Amino acid sequence: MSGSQFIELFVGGLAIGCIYSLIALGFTMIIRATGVLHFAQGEVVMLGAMFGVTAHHLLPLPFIALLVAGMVFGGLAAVAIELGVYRTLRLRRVPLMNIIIATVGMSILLQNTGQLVWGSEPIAYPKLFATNAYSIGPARVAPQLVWIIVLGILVMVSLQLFLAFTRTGRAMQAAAQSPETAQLMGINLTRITAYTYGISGVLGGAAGVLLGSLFYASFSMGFLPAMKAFVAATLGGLGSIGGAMAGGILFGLIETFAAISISTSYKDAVGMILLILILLAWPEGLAGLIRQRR
Amino acid sequence: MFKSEFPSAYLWIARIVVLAIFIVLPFAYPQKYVVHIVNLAMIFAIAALALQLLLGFTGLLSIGQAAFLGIGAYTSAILTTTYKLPFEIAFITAGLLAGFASLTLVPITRLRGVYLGVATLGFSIIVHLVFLNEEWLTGGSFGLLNIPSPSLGPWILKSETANYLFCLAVLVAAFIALHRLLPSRFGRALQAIMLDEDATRASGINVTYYKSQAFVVAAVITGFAGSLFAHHAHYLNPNDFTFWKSIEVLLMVAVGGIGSLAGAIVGAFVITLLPEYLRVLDEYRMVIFGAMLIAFMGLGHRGLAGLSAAVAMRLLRLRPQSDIPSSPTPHADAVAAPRWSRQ
Amino acid sequence: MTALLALDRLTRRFGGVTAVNSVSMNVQRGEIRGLIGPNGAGKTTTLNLISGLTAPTSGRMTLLEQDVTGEPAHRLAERGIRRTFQNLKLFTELTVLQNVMIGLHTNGKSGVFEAILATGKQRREEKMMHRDSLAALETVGLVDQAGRPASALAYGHRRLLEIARAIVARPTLLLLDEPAAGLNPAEAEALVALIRRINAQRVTMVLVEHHMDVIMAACSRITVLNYGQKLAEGTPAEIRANESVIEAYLGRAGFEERIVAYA
Repeated sequence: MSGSQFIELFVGGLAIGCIYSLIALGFTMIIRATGVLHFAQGEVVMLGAMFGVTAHHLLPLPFIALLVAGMVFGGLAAVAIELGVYRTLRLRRVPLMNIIIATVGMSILLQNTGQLVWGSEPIAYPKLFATNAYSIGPARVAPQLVWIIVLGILVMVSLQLFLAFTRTGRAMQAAAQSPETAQLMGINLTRITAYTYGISGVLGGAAGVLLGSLFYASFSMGFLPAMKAFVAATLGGLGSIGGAMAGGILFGLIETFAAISISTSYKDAVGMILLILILLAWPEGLAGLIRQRR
Repeated sequence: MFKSEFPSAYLWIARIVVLAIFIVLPFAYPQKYVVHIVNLAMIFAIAALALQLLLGFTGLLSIGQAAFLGIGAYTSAILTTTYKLPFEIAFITAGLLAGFASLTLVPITRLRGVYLGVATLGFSIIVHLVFLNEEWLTGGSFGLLNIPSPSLGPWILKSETANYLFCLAVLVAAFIALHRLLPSRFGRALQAIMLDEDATRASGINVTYYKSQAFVVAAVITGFAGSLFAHHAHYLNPNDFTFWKSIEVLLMVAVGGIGSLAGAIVGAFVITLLPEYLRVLDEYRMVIFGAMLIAFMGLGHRGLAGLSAAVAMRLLRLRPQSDIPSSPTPHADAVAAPRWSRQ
Repeated sequence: MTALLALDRLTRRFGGVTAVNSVSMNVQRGEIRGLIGPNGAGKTTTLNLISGLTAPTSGRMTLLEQDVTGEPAHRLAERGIRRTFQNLKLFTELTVLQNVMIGLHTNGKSGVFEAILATGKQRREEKMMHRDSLAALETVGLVDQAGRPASALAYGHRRLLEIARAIVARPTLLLLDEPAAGLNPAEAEALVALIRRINAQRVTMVLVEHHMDVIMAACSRITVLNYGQKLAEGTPAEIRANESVIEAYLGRAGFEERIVAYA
């Protein structure tokens, strides 16, 4: 592998990895706060992409505005799902496993609703970036990939700042650590859980627009990347924010390099084998490794 | 535990009535399509029973059962087509090979909860890729064609009805086997593992060994189901065994009720037949299916099995026999770690 | 006479904390050994080490003159070390009888095939387990509750069920972790009588307990732990008179009065 090829692959892997990280963060936020493995996260990603492309057709806005539109609608959709469906189930005091299975139902429901609304054909995303490749040394890199990395990291950094420095963000952290104590301290769990879904929806929406701009938007676009992102979140250690980010980027890179150096047909298997090996060494993911070292 | 609140005499009458209905069904409904689809549901019911052993009675979350279903199906199909071996041998080998393949999962049985779920999901994805890419063995994405009907000695079960009755017999056998297994020394060890691992260890039970055995038993049963699937469809395609199928088997168990054998069968029928019945809704079919799935989950952990038992009790004007107090529930928004994800 | 159980400089560290620090102890056949100490002294960790639920960081453990250091819990349970848990670890969704039958696991042999085929051997084994479990429930006085789910038992009865599950396989060494916690005085007195009855069937015991009256009434020798180390060892009379033991308990509200009451 030549140096320039390596750089091109690395940037590509990093870009897809950033998208996985965004989705993985969504999973992590929800699993930390509620214990729910949110199978419909991929459909929130799809909704973000669809809203983004719909916004573009209504008004030819710059890419940043599309990204924001996707994030806002992704967030709103997630809040609506939480308050309308999952909360209703929780109030019926059904076991957690039932809520998790209900998210599978939600995934089926949203995916097929998406098909009804936007049709079965993939929708092309508008060309929003300069088509002239950037040069990094001898390597030539598509501007789109660079922008995905920049915007993806920007969103993730904003999330960190939000969690660390805002009242709501800190309340969310507290509620995730110990819901009972947080409740005693006067934190409204209903609202915090809704915020949590909202934020993971915003992250999913961002991932959707970025993913759509890389390929296309389609009703079924979300499920597989979401499953991979969930694996990435597990790789990093479920429930760890840093782990989700690192796991997503790692997974993107592994997948990209495995496709070139091993085989395209088995690129997904490489990630899975690695996942199983890492779990065998550290049964709670890479975050377990860091905890062990401390 | 998991002993129904139902008096056992009623339970046996109910079982016999249900079995009788299933025996009569292909003669009452001679439409090929109905028999075909009910047969498919029975095959998945066998796979769901196997997962119930893992999830409902050992507390192990597996999202990888499609792998064993596929291994069983391809083994049986390849042995009967390429090697022209008799069905009986192919069927047995399918179960054994699936069980053998599950031994690769032994190291991951020490993972817990969602981590085990993700690892088995990964296994399912890997096995699907093997089906898809190893064309010399599985025919790749073209699939395997012309898989013969099952045969038992001199009888070739060529008609839908004969095949149906054979699958029904296997389903009944799987049900009886698990029904006998649960109150045995083995079954008690599994349930102990689910309820408290430390106390199980301190009682002299090797937890890893029994978890592995549970995986193998479930894989063998699922492998048998896979074989039946191959000879029922006469055609195999890797897409029959994606990780989505693994999730579907999980849905069956959850809809029917975790911890109930009868529930697994009911769930398999609901998940297999409901989309068919919803065909009249045309393009809204899967939207409604998703919504119904969510609604079923509102029934609580005993699922449809619990609901139907409660309805039957009401109809028969029976009172619950047991005095199990309902477990204390925290505030709806406060998270209680579920048993299968307990660290 | 060689000891039934010998701990030789057994140590367990958790990260930077040494929960059990070089503890040596010989438990003789047939004795009831009390294990006491203030909260956080390492009593429960010691029981976890003896029962194999926690592996020692260093040191040796000998059972009946065989080195069993680092053996997993299920192997030690097969060798006859059984225990109860301070915070009750019952199989709540199973019946009382089934809970006890799990304690008999090591006495059986039948597996998957025997159960599915319901062989004669398997059925005889089940009958035997059934009978022995009822006998153990008889011993602790729960036989009339056999068919109820364990979760339906009253608190004191749950403690007794833990004991029944631990004694059903006739252990050589029984570890009781605070069996009297949460019991009223009458129940505690009945517990002491039960402990004596079990001991009379040649079951050696290690008893961790906060109730000094139970310890003083039941134990032949007492080992005192403090900050993970052995502080003192002797007969109840010697322990009562031991200056350093009284000192260790001084200033710790509650314990002071209890130990002084016996001094």
